[in-house]
Parts: sequence; structure tokens; C-alpha cells
Amino acid sequence: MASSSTNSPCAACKFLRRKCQPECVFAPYFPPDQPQKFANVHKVFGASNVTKLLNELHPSQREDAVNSLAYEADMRLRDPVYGCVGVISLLQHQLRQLQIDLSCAKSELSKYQSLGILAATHQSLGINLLAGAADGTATAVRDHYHHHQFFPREQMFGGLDVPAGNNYDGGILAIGQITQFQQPRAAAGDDGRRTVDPS
Amino acid sequence: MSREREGFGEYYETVKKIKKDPAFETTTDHAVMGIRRHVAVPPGTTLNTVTPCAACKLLRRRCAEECPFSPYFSPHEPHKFAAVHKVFGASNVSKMLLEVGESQRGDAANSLVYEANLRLRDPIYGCMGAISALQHHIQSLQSELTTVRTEILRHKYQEATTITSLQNNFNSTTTTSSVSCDQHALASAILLPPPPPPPPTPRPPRLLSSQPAPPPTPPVSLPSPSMVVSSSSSSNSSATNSMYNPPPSSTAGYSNSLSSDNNVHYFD
Repeated sequence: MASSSTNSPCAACKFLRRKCQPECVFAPYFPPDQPQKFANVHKVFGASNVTKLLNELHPSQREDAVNSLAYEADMRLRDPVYGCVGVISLLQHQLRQLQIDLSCAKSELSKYQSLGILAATHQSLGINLLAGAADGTATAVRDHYHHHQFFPREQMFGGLDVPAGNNYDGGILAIGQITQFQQPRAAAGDDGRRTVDPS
Repeated sequence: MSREREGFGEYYETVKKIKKDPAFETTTDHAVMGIRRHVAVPPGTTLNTVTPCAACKLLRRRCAEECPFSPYFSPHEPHKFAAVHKVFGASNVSKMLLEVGESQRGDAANSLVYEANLRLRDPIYGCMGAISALQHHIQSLQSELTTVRTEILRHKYQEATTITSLQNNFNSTTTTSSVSCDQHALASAILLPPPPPPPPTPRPPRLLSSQPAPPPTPPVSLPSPSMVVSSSSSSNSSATNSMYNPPPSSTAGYSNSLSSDNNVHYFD
């Protein structure tokens, strides 16, 4: 009797004004210092319903169950119309909006990625042209170099479309072109002489 | 105990109200004798009474006009009230509905049904479990959206950089062409006889030594075109340096010019 009277009842038994038995199902989860927690749960779910619910669970699961019941009871008392279902509805709305935004962003990204593929194709073709030049023999390389020399001149002449053959028929223009052809060989010769001098 | 008695009394009264019929005679006798039997009332025999709502049907009591449940728990959806009855209890549901304004009781009843079903489906976490799952899903999608948007910005930056680079290459090509043409003219005036071509071996180190300064953005150069370009640049080294500051290797500069030509014509 003495020991029994000295035991503090749990918040549930205190609220319900009854003796707190050693096997009380509420005691581990509703300590005396949290009376509001049980009051909320009791008001929304009812003590008998909570007892049944807890008895159906494995003891290791009861703490989580009590905490979720307390949360739902608190939300229900804050918002008597929607309770925690209002929170769920809000989250579902946010989720739907995010899915729309993500779909739009992925669509935009796919456009850039397809453009990237085209750009890569261009670069690849360019590299192939240069590689072809590199693979040729020395003579072929020189010819290739001569061929490229026509492009800058065409640009300087304002995109002149006259064929190369016609260029040789022109008097002054033809002389200039012939001189241009001889220039690389002369440069090469000069370079050779400089190389021989040190040795 | 008292509830059980009330239930029994209600049941007995219900039986008494039914018109006496030979089919129900035995049932009536059992009720009078105290044996508890729940016999389903066949359709048609309730013509004399108002159809009770799902709540009163489950609770086996008279459904009065002022019943707080009847507008929200149709007899055609008995499972709805069954759920809230098990989770919240009828008296608690009644109190909660009466605390809310009449115009919002429909929403309140529906939310209680939804919450009760979640609790029955997941007795441990209930609504909290659904909320937690939704929050995780939202967090995951938000992270993915951030990643995709970052990728989009990266592509936009690359696009802007490419456009600027193309413009620079075009300008550089024009300038290089002009300078190159002038240099070629000078060289042709000075060096007219065509000597034989020398061996290519000693050219690379000479080029490297002649061009010590590093460039901010060295263009890509290829070996074979470099050899041809190097001979030309060697003969014009002084003029080239005085006219403009090329990258450390004239070879690279010429290679860039060739690339620019290719790019310009190709895109045209």
C-alpha cells in the first residue's frame, strides 16, 4: 500500500482519475510531466480506442504510434476541419507543381543537348579535314597549304567567285599569283641555308 | 455491460416493430427468451421506418432528424463511418462535427474519414507516415530540378562563349589574311630564286627557341601543317614580330588561321 501510494500515476491515469497499475499501457508513453499530450489524444481519439490500438501493436512499435497519434491530435485540434489532412493536401499540391516544373526543365535541357550533338558533329567534320591534311605526304601537305592560301585572298577581294584558271589569264593579277606560288619554296630554301651555317 | 444491455434493448424494440410474420416468429421467440441473435432484416420490410444513416445502422439505434451523422454518412457507404468509429469513436466524431460550423462539417467529416483510413492502413504512423513520404518525395524532386536547371545554365553559358569565339576568329582571320598577304609580297620581292627544300628535322627546336612568350589561349596545332607553316614564318620572322604579337609558335598562329578559314567556309 505504502509503495503503491508513493508511485506517481502517468498523465493518462491522472487525467482519468484512476489508479495507475504496473501494467498500464499508457505509462511508458505519457509521463506525468506531459499532461497536455494525453489530453489531446484523449479528446480526439478517446482513451479506450487508443488502448485497443496500442494493444494490437508490438511493444517496440508503440512509441512511434503514440507520437504519431499525438501529432495528429494536435493538428486536429489546431484545424478542426482538415486536421493533418490539410497538411497532406498542401504537400500533394506542392508535389504536383514540382513535377510540372521538372517536366518543363527537362524539356528545355533536351533542346540544348540536341544542339550540342549538332555542334559536336561540326567539330568532328572540321577535325577530319585537318586530319586528312596531316595524313598526306609532304608534297600533298604543301599542295593543301597552297589550296588554303586562296581563301584569304578571296575574302580580301570581296568574295571573288572567278575560277583559278581565269586568274592566270589576267596580266597583273596573274603575275601576283605566280609570285605567291614561288614564295614558300624560297622561304624553305632560306631556312635550309641558315640551318647549314651553324654546323 | 450497460452498453450491451442498451444494444440488446434496441434490438428487441426493433424486432417488436416489425410486423409479425411467420418467418420471424422463431427470431422473436429467441429475443424474448434472452438469446442474442443478429438477424439481417430483408429489404422491403423497413417500409414503415426511415432509412437510418450508416452511423445509426452500425450503432443499432434510431436515426432522429437531428442526428449529427446523417448528412455526412450515407447508408450506402457504411465503411466510411466504420473507419471513423473504430479510430475516433462515435462520441468523439459527434463532438468534433458539432464544434465546426455547419457549412464546414462536410469537409470535416471527409477529412476524418481520410485520416481514419490512413490510421487503419498504417496503425503505427498513420497520417504522419503519409506526410513524411510526401516530404521526402518533394525533397527529391527539388534536388533533381536544381540539377537540371544548373545544366541548362551551363549550356547557355557555353552557347554565349561559342558565339563570342566565332566572332573573334572571324576578325582574326581578316587581320591575318591582310598581314600575310603583305608579308608574302615583301618576301617575293627579296627572294626570287627557288632553292631546293631542306630537311624538316631541325625546324621544331628553332621555332620553340624563337618564340619564348606564352599566349593566353594557345590554339591547337597539327604536326604536318606546322612544318609547312614554320618554313614560311621563319623567313619572315622579323617582319612578323614587328607587325603583330603572335602566340609563342607562329605555327600555332597559322594553324589557327587555317582552322578559322575552315570554320568560316564550313558554316557558310
